[in-house]
Amino acid sequence: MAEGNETVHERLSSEYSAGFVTDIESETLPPGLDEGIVRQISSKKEEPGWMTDWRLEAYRRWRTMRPPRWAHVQFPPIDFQAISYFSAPRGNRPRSLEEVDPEILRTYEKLGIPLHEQEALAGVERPNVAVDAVFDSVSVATTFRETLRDAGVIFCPIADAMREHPDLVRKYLGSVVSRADNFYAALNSAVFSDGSFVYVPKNTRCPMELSTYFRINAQNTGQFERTLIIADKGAYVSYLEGCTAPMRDENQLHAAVVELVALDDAEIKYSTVQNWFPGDAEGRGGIYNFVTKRGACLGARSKISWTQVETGSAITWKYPSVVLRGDGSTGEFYSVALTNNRQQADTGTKMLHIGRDTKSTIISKGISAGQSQNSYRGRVRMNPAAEGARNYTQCDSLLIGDRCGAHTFPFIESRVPSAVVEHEATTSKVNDDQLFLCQQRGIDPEKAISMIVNGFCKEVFRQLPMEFAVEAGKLLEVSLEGAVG
Amino acid sequence: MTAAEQFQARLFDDARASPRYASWLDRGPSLAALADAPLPEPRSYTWEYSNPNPWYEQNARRTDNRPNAGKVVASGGIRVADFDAADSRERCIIEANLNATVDRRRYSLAAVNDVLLCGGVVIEVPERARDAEIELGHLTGGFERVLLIVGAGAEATLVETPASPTHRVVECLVGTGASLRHLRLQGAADSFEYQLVSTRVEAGASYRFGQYAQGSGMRRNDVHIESAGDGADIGIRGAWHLSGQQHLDTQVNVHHGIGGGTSRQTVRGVVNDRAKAVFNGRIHIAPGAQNTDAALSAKHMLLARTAQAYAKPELEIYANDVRCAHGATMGEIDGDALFYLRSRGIGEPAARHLLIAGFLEEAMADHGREEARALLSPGSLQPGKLPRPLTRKEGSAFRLPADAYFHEKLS
Repeated sequence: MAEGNETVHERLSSEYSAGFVTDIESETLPPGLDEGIVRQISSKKEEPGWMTDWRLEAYRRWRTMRPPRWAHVQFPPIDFQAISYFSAPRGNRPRSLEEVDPEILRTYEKLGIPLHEQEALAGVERPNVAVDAVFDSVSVATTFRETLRDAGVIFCPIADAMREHPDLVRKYLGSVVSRADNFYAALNSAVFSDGSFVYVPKNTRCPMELSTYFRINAQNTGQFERTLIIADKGAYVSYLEGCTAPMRDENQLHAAVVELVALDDAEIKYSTVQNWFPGDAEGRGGIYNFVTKRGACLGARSKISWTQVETGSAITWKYPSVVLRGDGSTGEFYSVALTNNRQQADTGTKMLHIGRDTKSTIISKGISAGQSQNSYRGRVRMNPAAEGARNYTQCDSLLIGDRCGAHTFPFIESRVPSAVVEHEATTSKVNDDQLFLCQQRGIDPEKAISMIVNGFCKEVFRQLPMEFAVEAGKLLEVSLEGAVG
Repeated sequence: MTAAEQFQARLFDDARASPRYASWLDRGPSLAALADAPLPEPRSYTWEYSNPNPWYEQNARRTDNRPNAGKVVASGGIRVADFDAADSRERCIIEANLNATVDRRRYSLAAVNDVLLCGGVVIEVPERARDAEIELGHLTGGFERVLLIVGAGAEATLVETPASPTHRVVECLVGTGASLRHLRLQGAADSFEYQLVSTRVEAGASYRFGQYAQGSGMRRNDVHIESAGDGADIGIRGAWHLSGQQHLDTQVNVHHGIGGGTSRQTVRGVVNDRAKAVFNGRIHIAPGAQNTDAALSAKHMLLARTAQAYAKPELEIYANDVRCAHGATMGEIDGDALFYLRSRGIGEPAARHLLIAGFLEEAMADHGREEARALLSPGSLQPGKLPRPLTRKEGSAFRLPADAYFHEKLS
């Protein structure tokens, strides 16, 4: 028994493998936020005048707003004047991969993110993934831009898109998540520094998976990125997002906005594996992940699918939503949220049915361990014109240990008789019989728990692209270390 | 100044004068609670779908001292006393138990009820009493209070038929091993009402609550039930059938403070015309309340294109060895079932009545089934004029709310 505990202890101390700091010179704006800082960020990004005005308007709106208080999370008030809103590796922006600081390349190598455009890996053919790597406030590298350009797909940092494709950015930026949508979205609109922009033209299937990898490195900074993905009529794109940060004792703020637009018959699949630093076992440090993600199914028969695996962050406040405006459009939300130690998560989705015959599916799996609190919060709204709309929601919670909490707050609203809404939720602990069966066959308790948890999340993992599904499974295993014993 | 703030300011002014009804009763703690916790505002977190402002306007003037005009019919050795006429022993009992189960900061309108009290009765069911029956009809029509104490091992039935408008707070203390069946029937009305049932169920006790209702201008029913001992058994049944412009908001909170308890909630609602049904069913399991078994099922049926239903089944769980589940659905009459009945020669109106009645029946307990049927059967309702169908244009005029994901006016 003592030996077993020792092994657990050993593995615990190495739990967050992405927690290292990259020692590079960076250029950071002083902490604090006022109109001057907003203007500085805008001028550093060499933005057009309309964009500076857009930001300033967002900043003025933000000043009149208050942080949301309804979420089931607790944390001391954030001092927004103590945060630095811009940090970038020093030097000119690299034009190609060769020019990227080798220290940064090594960081991504350590994290297992392929920034080299290799065709094959260890003799095994493997599908290419185009990566946009965002380091603190700026995008440092975007791979496969040429290949994608040949297919007509635009995949670039959003700052580049503002200069190269101003019409598209102007038309869609803020069209799904407005500048005044909520406190954190307004803050993001004022100070966002980078992020990815994707446009897939008509009747085009994006030839490879697109991916953005977010890394917070600098101390006392926040990361505020903005992603905008537009799938034109009949287009298809699959997009992956990953994130990590160093281990630090202070809390850091990450307030991103993601907007998706799907026109007629288009499909967007957005997958996230979120592994921000969750804080240590005592709840010191960790990322505050306050993110607004929303997709608009504008066109008929369009589809937006969110898949998320959330294992990191000290506090998660995140509700990827779909506005189902086009007739016959489909929204999906698949989520695994795991909290351990003192993590707090308040996450879920919103499905707003506006068009006729719209469909949505919500599958949410919450796992709480240690002293963590894990809440599902969702809203399904059937508007008067949503004739024949359907929603199915299933949220299951699994509790590991007797000091954690699992909560469910679903809002169900219907104003149309022919719409059908079904919601079910269950809460249980790890089944003793299953655990016994595994142990009886020589599987140690920790491994057995991780197997059971993997089975519990199977429905969600199935939705992830293959490489991500493997990563997600491993991530759960690591995050659960020390939860039993 | 909002309507709530105005109402509260006036309440504090009035409270300076000594109350005429049951003046011996200490209103201090209720006033303190009101000073701490503001009255509900429209669109606040727990009042998202109901507007309390008409209630404040309706009750703005100080209610007169109206002695208990109604009657309490009780049998089986039960003692009943009016708060105003209570003797010293009864006063002791009232002082010791009143608000024992009511969190006045959470239910601040119950604190208002205390301050403006104009009628109240304490009902004591002796230990091990059998077949005790209490019928509670109209009392004062104002702010009234019922304190029911069921002694250990007793069996009692409480039937409430409050006439409208009533602002009634009912507190039930169900002693160890006792059993209480509580039936409440609320007919249609136009007024704005707030009512609270707050019950504590001790170890081995059983509490069955049946609430069958039509709506009113704004009728808010808060139900708070605490499972306070091992083996406490709670059953809640609710059915409502709303028509016209009726509004019914039911908020149930089942709190499992101690482990080993069981609770079941079954709710069925039918909403017609321009009516609006709101249901919030919460299961709260406190840290350490292991071996709790709790479940909730809430279904709503919408019959008209202008009817609205809002449901929020909530789970808040702080213990791991528990079984909890909830389910909620919304939809219309099952087309296949309707077709089946019509293919058997049953006319459409009759077939619809049959299906509606069958749907509501799922939430009716054996006790009070007849009364509930009489209150809610489709024939007993005034068929409202069917509104014109909504045009496509009107429907799509909806725009996203500019505020946050969920309403954050709580602060």
